[in-house]
Amino acid sequence: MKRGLELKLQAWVDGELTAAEAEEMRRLADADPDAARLAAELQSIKTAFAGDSQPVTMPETREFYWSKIERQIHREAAVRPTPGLWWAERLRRWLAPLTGAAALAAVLVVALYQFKPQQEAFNQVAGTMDAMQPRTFRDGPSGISFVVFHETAQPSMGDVAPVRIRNDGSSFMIDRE
Amino acid sequence: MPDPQENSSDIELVRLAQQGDMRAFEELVARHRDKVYARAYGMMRNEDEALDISQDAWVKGWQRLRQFQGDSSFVTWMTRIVINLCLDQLRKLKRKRAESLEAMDAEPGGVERQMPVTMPNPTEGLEREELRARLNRALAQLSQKHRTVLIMHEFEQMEYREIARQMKCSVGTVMSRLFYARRHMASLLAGLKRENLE
Repeated sequence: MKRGLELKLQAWVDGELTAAEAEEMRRLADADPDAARLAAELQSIKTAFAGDSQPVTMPETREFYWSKIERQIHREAAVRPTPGLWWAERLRRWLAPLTGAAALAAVLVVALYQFKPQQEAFNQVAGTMDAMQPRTFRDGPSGISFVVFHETAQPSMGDVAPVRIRNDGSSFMIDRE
Repeated sequence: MPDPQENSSDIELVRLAQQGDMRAFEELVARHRDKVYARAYGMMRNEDEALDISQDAWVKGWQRLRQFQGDSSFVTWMTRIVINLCLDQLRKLKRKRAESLEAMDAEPGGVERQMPVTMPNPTEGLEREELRARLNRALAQLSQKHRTVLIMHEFEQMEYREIARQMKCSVGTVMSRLFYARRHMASLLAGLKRENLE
């Protein structure tokens, strides 16, 4: 017998099938001796358990058993909400992870916010560098070179003029000659 | 002097207990402790563990009493709590120790298919005490998950879907486990019957 059919036969014994499916299994059990034997075996185990419905008696007295429960209730009541506040416990159960998630989100937002201006400043510099045209000035006597960036278009050769760099001890001045 | 609460119905006692009356709750414990303990013992097969878990179940019952709406009977509600605690405990135990025997319980298409059907009924004509003794011996030889599904179905009359929800598995798995458990039980009971005859 196929596996699926065996399980369906069991479901029939357990009363878990629709009327049409149950009728199908009844016909199968009538026609197939193997199916009938299997159904009878499954039913016998059900019947055996039904015959064992007498309650088990526990090995402790009522007073001793209850005293341990009562102590535990009082002990846990000291650290847990009372039964009347079960909703508070449930709220706390939800609130704790939510608070954690919110804190994490806040940290991420702050981190991103702090990182963003630096990136913008860098981009701005990069943009400025791209837009600017560098020009180099060298003062022969002092041996100092200056690189100046300016936003004008590339100057024509006519715009290039010699410059002099003056050093007065505290600052440098560039003079067109 | 007789306790007036002894004559109260479960529902009346639950209402009183929901208002904080611990004596009413004690009466509920006294009425149903054997059944709650029996479920724990059936699943754990260990007296001490069953006692501890059944007591934990009553503590949980007290803490969650406001959630009891009376959709089922109080004792059914309590047995669901104790079954859940047993399942949690069994999961913890399973994590702790490798269950070599359980690993051999191949469910789909496993050894149960090769077992011959036992006829006649291996428990027929047994006295109640003898029947219980044999069922207990056979149950003890099943793996925890097969024993659990059998207890939930046969003692608690839980439907496949409800067992699947509690055991966090599919309905197909429940059907498979139940089929294996019954076929194994039949084989074990037949063996016990033969031993008895010899």
